[in-house]
Amino acid sequence: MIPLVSNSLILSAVLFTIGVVGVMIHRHPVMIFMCVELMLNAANLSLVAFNKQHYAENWHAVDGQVYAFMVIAIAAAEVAVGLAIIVSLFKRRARVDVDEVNQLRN
Amino acid sequence: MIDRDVIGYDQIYALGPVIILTLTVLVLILADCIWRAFSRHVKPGDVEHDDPAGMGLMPNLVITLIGATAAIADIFYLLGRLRAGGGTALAELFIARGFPDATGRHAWEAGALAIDSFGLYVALLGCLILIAVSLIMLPYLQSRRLFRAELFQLLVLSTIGMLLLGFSRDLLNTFIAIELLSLPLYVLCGLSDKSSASRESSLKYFLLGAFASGFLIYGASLVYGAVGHLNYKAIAFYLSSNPDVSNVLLAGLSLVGVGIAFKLALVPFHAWVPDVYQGAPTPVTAFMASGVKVAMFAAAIRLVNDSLVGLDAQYWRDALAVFAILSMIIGNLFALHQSSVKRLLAYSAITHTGYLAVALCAGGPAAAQSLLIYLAAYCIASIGAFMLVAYLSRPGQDDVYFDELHDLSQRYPAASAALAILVLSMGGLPMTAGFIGKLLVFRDAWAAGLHGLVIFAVLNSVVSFYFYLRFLRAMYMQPRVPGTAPLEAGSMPAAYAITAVVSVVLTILFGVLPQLLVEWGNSGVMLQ
Amino acid sequence: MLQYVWLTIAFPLVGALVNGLFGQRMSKKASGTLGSAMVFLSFLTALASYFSYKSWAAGSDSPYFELTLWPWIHVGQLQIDAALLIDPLSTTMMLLITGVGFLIHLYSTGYMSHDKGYSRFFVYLNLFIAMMLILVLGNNLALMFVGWEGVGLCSYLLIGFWYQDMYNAKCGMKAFVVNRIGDFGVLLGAFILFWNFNTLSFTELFGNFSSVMNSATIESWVPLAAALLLFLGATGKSAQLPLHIWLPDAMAGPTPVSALIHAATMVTAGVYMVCRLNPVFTAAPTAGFIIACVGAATAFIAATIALTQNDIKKVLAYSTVSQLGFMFLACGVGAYWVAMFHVLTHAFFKACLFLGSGSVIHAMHEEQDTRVMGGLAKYMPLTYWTFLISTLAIAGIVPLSGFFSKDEILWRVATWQTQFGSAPMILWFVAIATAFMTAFYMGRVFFKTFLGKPRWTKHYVEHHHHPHESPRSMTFPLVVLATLAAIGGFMGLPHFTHAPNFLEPWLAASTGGEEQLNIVGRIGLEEHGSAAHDDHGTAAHDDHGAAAGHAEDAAAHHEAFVSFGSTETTEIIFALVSVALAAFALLGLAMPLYTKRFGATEKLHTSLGPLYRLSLNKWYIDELYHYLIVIPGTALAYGCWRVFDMKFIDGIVNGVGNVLGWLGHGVRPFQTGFVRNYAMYLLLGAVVYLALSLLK
Repeated sequence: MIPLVSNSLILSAVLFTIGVVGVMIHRHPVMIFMCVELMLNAANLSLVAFNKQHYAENWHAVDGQVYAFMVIAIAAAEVAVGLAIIVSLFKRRARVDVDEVNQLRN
Repeated sequence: MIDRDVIGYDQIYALGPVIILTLTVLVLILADCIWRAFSRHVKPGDVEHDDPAGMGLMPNLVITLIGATAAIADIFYLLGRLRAGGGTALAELFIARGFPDATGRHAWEAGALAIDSFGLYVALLGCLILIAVSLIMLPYLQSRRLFRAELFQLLVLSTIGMLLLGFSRDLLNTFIAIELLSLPLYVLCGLSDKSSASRESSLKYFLLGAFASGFLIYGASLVYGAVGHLNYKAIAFYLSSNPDVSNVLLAGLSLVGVGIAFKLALVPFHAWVPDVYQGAPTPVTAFMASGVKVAMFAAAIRLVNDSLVGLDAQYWRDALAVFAILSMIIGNLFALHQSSVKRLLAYSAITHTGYLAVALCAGGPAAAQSLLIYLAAYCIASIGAFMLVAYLSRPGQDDVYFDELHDLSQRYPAASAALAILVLSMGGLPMTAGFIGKLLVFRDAWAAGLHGLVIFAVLNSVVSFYFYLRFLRAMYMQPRVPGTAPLEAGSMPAAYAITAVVSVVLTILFGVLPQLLVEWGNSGVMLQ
Repeated sequence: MLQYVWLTIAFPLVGALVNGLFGQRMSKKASGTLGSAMVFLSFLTALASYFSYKSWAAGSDSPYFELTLWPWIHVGQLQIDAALLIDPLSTTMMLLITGVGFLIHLYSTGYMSHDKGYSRFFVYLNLFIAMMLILVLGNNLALMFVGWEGVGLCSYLLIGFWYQDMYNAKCGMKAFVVNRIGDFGVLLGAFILFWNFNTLSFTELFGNFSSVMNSATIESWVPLAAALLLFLGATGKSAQLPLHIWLPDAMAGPTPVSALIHAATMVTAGVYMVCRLNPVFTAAPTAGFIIACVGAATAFIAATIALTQNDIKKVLAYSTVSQLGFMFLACGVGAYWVAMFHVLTHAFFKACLFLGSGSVIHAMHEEQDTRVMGGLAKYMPLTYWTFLISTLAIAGIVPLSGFFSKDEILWRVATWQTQFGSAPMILWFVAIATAFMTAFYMGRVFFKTFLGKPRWTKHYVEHHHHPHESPRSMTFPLVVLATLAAIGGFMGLPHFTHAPNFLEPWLAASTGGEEQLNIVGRIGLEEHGSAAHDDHGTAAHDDHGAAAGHAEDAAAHHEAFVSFGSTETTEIIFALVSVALAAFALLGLAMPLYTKRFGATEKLHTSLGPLYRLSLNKWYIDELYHYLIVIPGTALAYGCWRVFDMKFIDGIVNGVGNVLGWLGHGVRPFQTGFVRNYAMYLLLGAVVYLALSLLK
């Protein structure tokens, strides 16, 4: 395996883990959302790296890289929706903390 | 190892229903713009002043209904062509192929989208759900004085996601379709911005949904790493040609499973369901309970049937069985003591996911058929039940509590009877559609050798009667609680009445003449 | 005409639909008339089907007329039709349900006339009739289960009919919960039959049964497991030990409901099911033995409890449980037609008793306690006479209907051919003791209510003049039912009378054909290496006319098994003994205790000391009664009530409920409402998922 590829895969796993842990520990919705973005980017990185690994000789086969672009596009759409939702929450309260949003429970 | 046709232009007609719905969205947006341009009022508040009956929403509803009806007509046309052609699929779009071997034959060849009868039936179900939900949306918005035209656009967009999920045979496509299904729903949940519960449900659903889709796409990237492609047929081919399964692939499939299980609401990925179902505007809850379930189970059964066939069942079935069992137990236990009807229905939805996951464990075309039948029966019952909740609930509250249902049969005998029949169908009372679904699902799982799981599921369905009967007890057998104001729902708007009558009639019709439903499900997979 | 037998189900269904949709806008008279008329039409249809079945059966080899209405579920191997089965068994039940059902509808038009939920009552009642007919007419287990669940639902709704009283709603819930335990048994039993015989249809099952069983592809546990699971269902529906607890509570419903559902029809569904599936039960002799024991134990324990109850409906409820025990005893010993015979006669006299008690309760303005009744005979003569006839019938006084059916059961028990040693003798003693107690407690309730001095005067004079006889709509059904209770027994005269027995050959077509008995023979052979079991039973059904010959024949063949000998003389002696015991219990014990000496029992309960103050020579006998019968009886009854009703079974039922409830509450804190907790569950799930698929 090309060192670049394997290093990228390790990096992507680390990024994913940071993202998951970040979702657990952050209390601000925007920060949680940033961590989700980190998870998506980890996926992008590993898609690109795996593409490189599978089709090292074939420069025309760029599936993985195209996939990564699609994921980026989806992530952008998610940002648009997500920030709108968070902003609509901001409009009602001064401080936004997900631990204060628990009116709906058993 | 990939060779591909970029696009099958000659077969693009097979995407007709999707295209029609997309055009519907465009028309809706255009109509909205025109309406706003010609109306003197810019702010929604002014509209409210001028249009107390909310008749401004009528054009949106009409356009949506026309679009959905046209899509249904197109689906029937495509089904007709499919039958005439006699093949397995009407069209495969975006075909990819494995590299040819020495004889020039391709190892595998499959489209990312398969327009086959299964997908078309899922699409049909989706369009019918769209029609039902838009119908109940209008009186709901009018009674709540929420004049939001954009929600019809969002509903149709979400339905397009459903359709694509039914057709999708490629992990990336599945991911995109799930996002297309979900993103409008995040917004729809927060639709009634006057209610903090609605905003909260929207935030929770969005954050957790995004989190889960992070798992899904990372899992997909690992699958890509192992296989080199995301097409289900490619995965199946890889599995059949590599007896030793790599851990990367297994980890990838598990993470994909997490993403799908989240949307299916299997325990322990279910925690959002009660909160979101309760907080969301009730017609949106109805859409989530029916449409999202149909689409996600369609996606799950495609994944199981098309790509996991070569994989030893122990790698995926054990985990799924554990989650199915947990869903049944946890759903039943939590449902026992709920005071809110919407929360109870949410937990009952989790229990139903458990039963459906039992069929998913069985896999195979028979299970696909049974899933379709069960889902059709369940959708009818849950849309009807949520519609009745929307009808009965106080405008400020958007939920009904069991205390308020007491003695309802005296004041709203028709609504009570309808609600009773629909929840009994959910419980699986014989001679209702729900019974047929349960019977078929359990039969498949038994045939697949999952005996313990079936006995467990039967036991759970017996227990679940306890909380479905709470509806009957409250409505028919308990006097009004002193001090609670009676529900004042007024006379039933026509759109509600139509939905109620249709859902009750279909529930009983399919219970008495299930052959209609069974043959429908049969033709949904026979050609697969 | 047989093609139109489905009309019998359709009429009450239409009645329920019309009353349900428009009942609130119709006058009471209209909705009551509609409900009753629909059941009457249904009864006429049933009658017509009976006659056309007779003529059809005369020209047919098979007793089963199968009417397929439409294909219900056809998926792969699972082929279930919506099909009806017309044979002597289902025709008999159909006539019983619609006939008695009509009378009780008629009665309800009077009884419920002041009730707010009048039309709702008729909706449930009509729906019940339809469901009950589906239960007995269905040609497969699935359709039978539809009816089974349907009648359960109607029963649940009717018990809690007066839901303004929370207690009633709870009783309804209890009935439903207990019945679900039984339903689970029915479902599993049906599954077992389906997996082994590949069909749920009765006719197909019976057609293949002996060949499949003889071909020995079926393991020996299969019929036993299926029979016991199905019997578990019957235990729930027919209130047998240990699931009988719901029936006394079910008396919270209106009295016509108690008469129709909890005495005459629904509770006999379990007996019907056992008779319908008799080949399965016959193939499992151990199951038969267990059923007989459960039936006898239920009969006995319920009778002891009935001895001391004061609520008139509670006595009748425990009496129903006890009589159902008799029916299962008959089923257990393989005398299926006798069980059906008792179902019929019991339906007549018990419905009459319940309706009579309803008439009394009506007259006493909702008073149910017999301690404050007495002397009602002169105020309500019709109720009095009909109640008297039915009391004599249930007590087993010749020649009323109860005598014939009960005596036949006792005789069958005594002459039961079984490998279980002295079981017949023990069961016979239990049964005769129960019959004795039955006569006593029925006498007690009758005398306390109608004879002696009125004890209601003081309480009554304040408000009303005196109790009045019920309106004609209520007394007419009483008279008809009392007539049936009086003459119903002549359908099945015992062998020693040498008179034609109408019922046995009629029912034998569906409950005791050659085929099933051959299987008994096979199993008997296998298990004992002797042919001893084979032809007694066969003979019983061959020689309907020459009964004496059959008895001698049987006696000669099976001396080793026959406990009491089987000659005609013995049969007559047995009958005389049971009549004498019943008459003694009624006239010798109950009458003096509860008319002239009324109050003695109550005084004894409060204080044993002041007894000596009572006149010696007159009270000596009473004392004896008390020490020998009432006190041990009370103690036994109280003990049974404590052990079986309160502690043990309620404990289990409540325990399960509590554990579930506790779990339900216990898990609630997990739904915290915090997004981050939910994310944590999701992550944990992902870890479990990864672990389960990677660690292989």
